[in-house]
Formats: sequence, structure tokens, C-alpha cells
Amino acid sequence: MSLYQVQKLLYQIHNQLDLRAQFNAAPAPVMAEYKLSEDEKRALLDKDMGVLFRMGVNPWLLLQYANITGVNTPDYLRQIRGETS
Amino acid sequence: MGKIVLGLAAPHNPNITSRPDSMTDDEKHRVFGAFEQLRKSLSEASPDCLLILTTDHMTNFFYNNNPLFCLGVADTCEGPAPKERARLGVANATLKVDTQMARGLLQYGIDNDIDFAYSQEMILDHAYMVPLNFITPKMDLPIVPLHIGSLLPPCPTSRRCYQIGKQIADYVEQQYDGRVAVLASGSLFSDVGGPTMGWVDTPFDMEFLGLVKDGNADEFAKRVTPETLKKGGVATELLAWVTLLGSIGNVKASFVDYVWAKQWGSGAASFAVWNPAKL
Repeated sequence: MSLYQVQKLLYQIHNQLDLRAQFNAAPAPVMAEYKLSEDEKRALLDKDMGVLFRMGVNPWLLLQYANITGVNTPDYLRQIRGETS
Repeated sequence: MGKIVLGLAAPHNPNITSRPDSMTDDEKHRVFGAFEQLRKSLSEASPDCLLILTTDHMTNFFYNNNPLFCLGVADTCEGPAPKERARLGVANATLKVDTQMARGLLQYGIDNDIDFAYSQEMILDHAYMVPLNFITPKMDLPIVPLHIGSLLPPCPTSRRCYQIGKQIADYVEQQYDGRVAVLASGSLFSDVGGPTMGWVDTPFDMEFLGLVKDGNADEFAKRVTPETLKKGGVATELLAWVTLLGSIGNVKASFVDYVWAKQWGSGAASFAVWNPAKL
């Protein structure tokens, strides 16, 4: 369990465009490079913004993850607010 | 010796350059008009350098190494960041750094109990490049970038920022040889990525812009409590304004404007100009 490792992954795919492309094509091998729990991996793969938000991921960084993975802003906000769509 | 001749505050909302169509014609007119006012003020003040106060947006700094205050001290700085070049709508530029000031301020800090971090390679992300794009379109004014950590909590206190602003003014008066303009880049209320994103607390913004109009810097700094920063959203960019006010003092702004484009999904655009030299 490491919030830091989750955020490190998000930070690195936010800044490193080649790593971002690799992640978007196949996330699992990229995630394997970070010390993530099964719950964390699942939340990332599911693009579960609510779980990631409640885990404590920095909101500005989480919004970048939503943009990278194609989650639109209304959906993102519904998820972090815990509203059902 | 030196003198702070101008203060400017402007937003760095990337939508302004990346998605100008996120504004109505009226909003565009007002936002670009306010930036034009700032550009003219800067041109008339004819400073030797522009000190830029803002926060890095996880470009140079992250939780592995996160300075609360960091000066860019290399001969030049480049922007925008690679991650935002494709969409930001601001051309790549290499800006000259006023190293007399950047390194002088660093040393002044060491001698006077401010432990600034410093960087020999600070990339200028949109927080620098969006306002620069409008107020120095030729990107030819030497800058000093000062990152004030506002996006990766915990953040500095308002008290500390205000004090550092005052010490910057002391440094300029005592040791710098030239005319300085200071830019605070950032919004007041701004919850980008947070649960209230898309909404703006306009009474919050009006309270602080009111103090700017009245020239009540001391009260502005005092009201930016930890609770205020929490209420102000995730970006806490008020701290850049507080630092600027420390450097300018209790001077009434000569120009204030405010535009909230509701499609932005982030804070409203607050603008201000101070002319301390005209007192």
C-alpha cells in the first residue's frame, strides 16, 4: 500500500510522454514498475476516480489522470463527489 | 539602489490560450483587454526585470523533492513544459534570466534567514507562460522565476510569504541595481480537480479584490489563514498574491478586473496593476 507510488506513477505518465503512450497502450507492464497493492492497481485500471480521490491522491494530479485516460470532467466530478451517475 | 516600480497580478488558466473558444465573445474581449492593460503598464514601467511569483504544476517538483520556495538561477529558462506544448497554444521560448537578481536574491536570502532552494534548470510551465504570452509577447524581458509551493500540501503560511515579499523589497532597495516589476500569476478561489471544480466562490474573490482596491495588503495577508487557503480550493494560489503584496506594501491597485468564464471549470480570472513608484 503506497499512496506515494500511486502518485509517482500518475506524475510520471503526466510528464513523460513516451511512458504515457506505453501506459495508454498497455497499463499493466507500466504499473508493474511501481510498488502498488492489488486495490491500487484495480482502481487505476478501472479509472475509479472516487476510490483514488478517497485514497488521498492529489486532486490536481488526479484530474490530469482523468484527462490522460479519457474520463470527462462531469464524470470525474461525479465520481470524486461520490454521486451515482 | 533598486526599485520595485510595478506590480501585476494575472491568471494562468491554460484554457485562455489552449481553448479561447471556451470564452464567450464578451469574456474574450474582457480577458484579452485586461491582459492588454497589463502589457501596457509593463511597457510603460520599462523595468529591467520581471520577478514572477507562482507555483510549479508538477513539472519540476513532486513529492520526492518539493521545495516550498525555489529560485530559477540559470542564465536562461525554457517553456512551456514538454507535456503541455502540443495543446497550450503558447510558442516555445527561451527566456533570459536576470542572474544579477536571481543569484543576488538567493545570497541575500542566505544572509538574512530565507533558505531559498534554487534550480539550474527550471522549466517554465503554463503558470509562467500563459501570462508572459500576453504581457511580454516578444518574451524579451529578463525574468526571475520564484516558485512558491502551492499545489503539493503542506504549503507555506501567508505570514511567511508576506515576510518574504517584504524581504524581496529590502533586497531590491539595498542590493539590486535596477527597476523591478513583480508578477503574481494565479487565481484567488480555484479548485481545479477538487470537488467544487466548475464553481467559483465569487464573494471570496470579491473580498480579496476589495482589499486589493483599498490598498490593504496587511489585511489581505492576515485574512489568508490556513482555513482561508482550505476554503479557497486546491491551488492555494493566493500565496503568490500575498508575496507580491509583501513586496509592494499598502498601495491601492490602479487597475482591477475580474472575469469568470463559466466554461473554464476552474477559477475566475482576476487581474490587478499596482504602481508603487507613482506614490
